[in-house]
Amino acid sequence: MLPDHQTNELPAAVDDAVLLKRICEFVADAADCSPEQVGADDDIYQALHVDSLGAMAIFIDISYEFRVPEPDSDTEFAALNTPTKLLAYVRARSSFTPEPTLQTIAQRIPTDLSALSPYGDAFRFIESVLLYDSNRVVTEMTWRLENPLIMAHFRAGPHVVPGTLLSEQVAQSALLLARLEGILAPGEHLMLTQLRSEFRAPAEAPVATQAEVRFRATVRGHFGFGGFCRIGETEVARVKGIASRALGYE
Amino acid sequence: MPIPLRVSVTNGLPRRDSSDTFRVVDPLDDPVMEDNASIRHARYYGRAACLASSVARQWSQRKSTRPGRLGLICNGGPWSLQASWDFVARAREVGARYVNPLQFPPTLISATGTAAATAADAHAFAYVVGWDRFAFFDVLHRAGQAVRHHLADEVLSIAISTSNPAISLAAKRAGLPEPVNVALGFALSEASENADFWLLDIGYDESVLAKYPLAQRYDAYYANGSLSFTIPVPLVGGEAYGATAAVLIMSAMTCHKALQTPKNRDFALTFREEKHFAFAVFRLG
Amino acid sequence: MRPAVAALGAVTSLGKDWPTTWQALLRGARSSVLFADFDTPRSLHVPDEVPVSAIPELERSLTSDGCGAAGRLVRSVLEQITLPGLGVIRLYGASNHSETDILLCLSQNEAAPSSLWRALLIDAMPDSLSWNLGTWVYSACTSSSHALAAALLDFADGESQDAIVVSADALSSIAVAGFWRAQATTHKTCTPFQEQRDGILIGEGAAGLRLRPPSRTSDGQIHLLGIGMSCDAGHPTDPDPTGTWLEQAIYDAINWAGFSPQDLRGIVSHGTGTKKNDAIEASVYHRIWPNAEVPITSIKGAIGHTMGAAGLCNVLVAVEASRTGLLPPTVSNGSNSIEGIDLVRDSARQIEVGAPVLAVASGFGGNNFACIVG
Repeated sequence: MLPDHQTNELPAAVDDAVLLKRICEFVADAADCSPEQVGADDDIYQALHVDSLGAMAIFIDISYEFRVPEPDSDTEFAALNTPTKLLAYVRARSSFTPEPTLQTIAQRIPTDLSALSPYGDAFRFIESVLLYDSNRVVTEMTWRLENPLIMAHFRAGPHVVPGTLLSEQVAQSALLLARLEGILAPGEHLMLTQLRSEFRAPAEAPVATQAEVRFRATVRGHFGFGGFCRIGETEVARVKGIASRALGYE
Repeated sequence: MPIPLRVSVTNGLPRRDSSDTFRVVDPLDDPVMEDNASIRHARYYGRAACLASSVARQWSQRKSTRPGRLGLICNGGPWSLQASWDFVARAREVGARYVNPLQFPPTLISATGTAAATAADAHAFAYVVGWDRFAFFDVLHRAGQAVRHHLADEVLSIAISTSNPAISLAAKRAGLPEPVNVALGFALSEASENADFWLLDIGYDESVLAKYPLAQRYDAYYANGSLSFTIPVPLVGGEAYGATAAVLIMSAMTCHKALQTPKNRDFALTFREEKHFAFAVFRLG
Repeated sequence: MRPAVAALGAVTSLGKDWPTTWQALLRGARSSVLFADFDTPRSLHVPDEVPVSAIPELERSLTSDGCGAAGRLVRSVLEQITLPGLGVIRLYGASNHSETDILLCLSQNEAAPSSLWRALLIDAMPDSLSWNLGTWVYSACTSSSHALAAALLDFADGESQDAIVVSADALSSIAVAGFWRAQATTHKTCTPFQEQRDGILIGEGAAGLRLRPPSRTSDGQIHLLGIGMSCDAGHPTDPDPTGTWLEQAIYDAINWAGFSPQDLRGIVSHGTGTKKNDAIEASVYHRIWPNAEVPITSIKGAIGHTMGAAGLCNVLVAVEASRTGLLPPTVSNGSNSIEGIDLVRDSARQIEVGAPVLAVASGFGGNNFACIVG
């Protein structure tokens, strides 16, 4: 079932009866019957004949609606076989650790982003970190018209952000990720040795671009990374590269 | 030499208007169609699969063919477009992690055929053929072939053309006519004397057609992008895309009845466009 | 009429043509990348834990008339197998999710050209090909198998003397997202018929096969000997748990070819690597061959599940296996094979040259297809 809108209330603030009713609606959708036909203790597989696709749909709906994780194993899936048990699962897991947000990450990112790049602030293309979790970082950069790099590019307009700067935002995000992951020793840096970029759409200043980066492979001091730049939902650049350990930037 | 096949027709649409054969479905009918479709999660499948399943279900209530000897073929078309569109819209709205897996199977073009096969309990085969205005001629050709080669005793061939918001939008943006709603089932089996109609698939061989003088032919052809025909009965008042051939055959059958065509008189139905042609011959039994 | 296989063509993640692909399969090679590393301009942002088998350097952009990666793959295969010959070649084609790239593109671009909308409405895949098509078939992952059946029957009816069956599917975000959220995708390595298997490696590719009348001298030609098909007509995605209809299709193919089960020397299975499919498929093989007397292989761990082209890819492997007397190995992770079958793994298996080999395919909606070549 497609929830019309996501519930903003946390499960803890919602009455059990309300939660159970919503869960029964999900089960009814998966069982292809009306919610009135779903009993709180009905076995969703045996009595309601929910199949594997339907079971997955129920857990996806619950996950989306209540922001709880999906079960970890097939055994756990199978054991959660009644609306009442699903309610208990939602209650138990609603205290799970949410994905890191800008606020939760604020203490974990380097306090001095200017130390990230050896070229100083004028050549730093990360203004803020939107998200960091295991092997993933999302950064943001606002390209303003008064930025000299933008002004110098297509002076008569349109002020398209040069692709090389978008690539650099991704590459700097990879460097930031390496520091956050603790894979660089103090004094160690990463040098970009290979880069391949594909540009999907122009980014016209003033605009904020978000770069998302992950490491793909690590081989003896070389780090393959991949990422992309987006403006909201629109992908503007896709970047792959290899960075190698280096001591200093002499 | 072509072998005649018995053909029985099932109209998948409840008859509520003045036309003997066709009616236009409006969106308010969708819940009724979903109820009649007898397929699980009908609302995710969309109108085409519901109508095809409805035809199949009606047919299954009167058929006697063993499930393993019943095959099913549908004409293709953009019928899964609404389901695909909904799937994409959901993914783009909330992320791929939260797409509904129940919405995934209906994104396939073939879902119309396999959903109908489930409704008809057809276990010999179930697939979808073609996409253009000749698609249903090809469907009938494949169905007859399967009977002749004993891959099935009977093949339910379902002609489908439907509209929905996604198709309407695509048609509007492309400058193409919106498809009308048609669902017709032609069950083909070996010829028998008690058949209402026989269908003779003469494939692509124009020499066979030569034996039919113009007075005994219903001609339909496309010229300058629009359909012209000599069948003196109204068609469905719109573009039936892959189901066009079924509409023509059905109209010709209706014409047979209206004109009280002499028994056992053959008629040819031709259908041609620039590059292709296909035709079928039927007679009143 | 038992038409002869006159030419084979393919583009897969292991090779840009059939000979390269075949040699890689014999070596036990496999190709897998993470979905995020696969270059799609219209991604739905499926998390990159999903491995896929992608064709390197495949151009994925859409032309204004909607031709994308799948259309290019078809053209590439046609170039490989369209040899000089007499008469008119009839083309039998098949695809699965060919239109989804257009859909994604349109969903993001209100100002799309009308030709793109038109392509969506009338199906870009066949319309973009300037061939006089015989038949275009859609039946999910058995699409190419049913196209092959149509070609075979036209041969039997004398309607065709020279036919090409071609099929292609390119990676689409809809398919990857759909399989992933149906919990069908592998997390690491796709290892069909092994106890530790965890799902499908979604792939892409194209296969083509040219059929001609058999020559009078049997000079090593491989022929299409028989087909069988059935439909579970039950669940939209899951195979019938009893495997009854798959078994029926295999027996129909064996009977068509005039063989007994013991005459077969190899099986190129559907073998997707999912828990359900492989368990059911293995149980069917065990029922037909209770002593595991016929070796079985699956190529889906190597080139991935090529969707609509998967059935034809299996037929190509069966043809080459019969011609060369070698069954390529199944990708293995070291865990035990399912009991009751003889799974070819680790290295290629020698079989009798020219012996009959069975190729099997199944698809969403419950379609089953079996084909014997030799």
